[in-house]
Amino acid sequence: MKKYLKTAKKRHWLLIIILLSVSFYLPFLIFGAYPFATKTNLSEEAIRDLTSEINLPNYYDSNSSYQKTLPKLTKQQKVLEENAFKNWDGGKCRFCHSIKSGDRDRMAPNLNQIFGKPAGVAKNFTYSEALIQQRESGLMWTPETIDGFISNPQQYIPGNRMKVEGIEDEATRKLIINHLLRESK
Amino acid sequence: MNDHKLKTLSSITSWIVFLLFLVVFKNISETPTVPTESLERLLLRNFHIATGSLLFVCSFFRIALWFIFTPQNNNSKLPDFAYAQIHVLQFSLYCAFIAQGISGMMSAWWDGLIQFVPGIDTINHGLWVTVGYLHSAFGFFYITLILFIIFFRIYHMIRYQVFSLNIFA
Repeated sequence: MKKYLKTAKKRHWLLIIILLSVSFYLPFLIFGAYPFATKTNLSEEAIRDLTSEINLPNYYDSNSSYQKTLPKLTKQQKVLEENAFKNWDGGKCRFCHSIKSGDRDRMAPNLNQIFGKPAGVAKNFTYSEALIQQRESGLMWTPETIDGFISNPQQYIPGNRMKVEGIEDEATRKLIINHLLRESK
Repeated sequence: MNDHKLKTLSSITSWIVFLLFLVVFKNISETPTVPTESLERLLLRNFHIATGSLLFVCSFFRIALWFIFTPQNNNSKLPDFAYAQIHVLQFSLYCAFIAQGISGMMSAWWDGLIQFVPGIDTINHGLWVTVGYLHSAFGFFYITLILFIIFFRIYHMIRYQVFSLNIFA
């Protein structure tokens, strides 16, 4: 009986090594996945320093204009808003992001109380160099910057790891932002 | 066990692996589009863990059989060096399924989805991210292996007039 694994030529095994190497790169290339999670990107003190000189409202305070202008929802509208965040034909956000304070982190940063935070400071996520540069340039997440980011992530911050198509529909983006304001109070 | 029985057993195992692969592949194609907190997603995920584990066990058994009864080149038109190419790719394919199974189980273990010892907190986000990445990488690995097996089968058909669509040895 012939033992082909022993008689195989070096080039046969070389192809396997090449395919394996390419395969290890593909999750990063296609999904923006990264094999290691950074537990803490920035200390609480450093985050405070970044925000101390910027006067942003508390987006989650029930007296803020952002909360006051949130529309009261019927059951059907609430489902619509949730679907914009969760569903495949909506923003697809929930596939990678958690939102509630008690939710466990998934592949992407937790979005709990995202508004008013500097970019690139969430825990348990390894940020791209592009997003770290944005943090150092002072990018803050506000409803307006999130709207710009999710409309075309790669155009807004080239080289960031959120490799999904942008949400062209303005109404869907508005629903997602309202959901972020409502759900992480 | 004689050679004939071993050959039959190897062939049956290969078919089972092939069918399980089709089921798992359909499952992984559908699951990402289902909302994460829905009941349907939960069912699809549990089904993935069950069928993926079966695929792992069968692939492991197929590799064990491989060393007892190595697949042979039965076609006189196909040179041994060309057969060795397919042979190495098919062997790697089963190894990829085993690696996929191990990384998948570890991923589910560190995500708290499966527990071998009840009552122990196994959730670890950092390790889950790492093995999750490996699980995805091995997934790409077996897809590229299958594409290359098909490519070589077509090449052998043109070059040596050997007609075989056998992807799994």
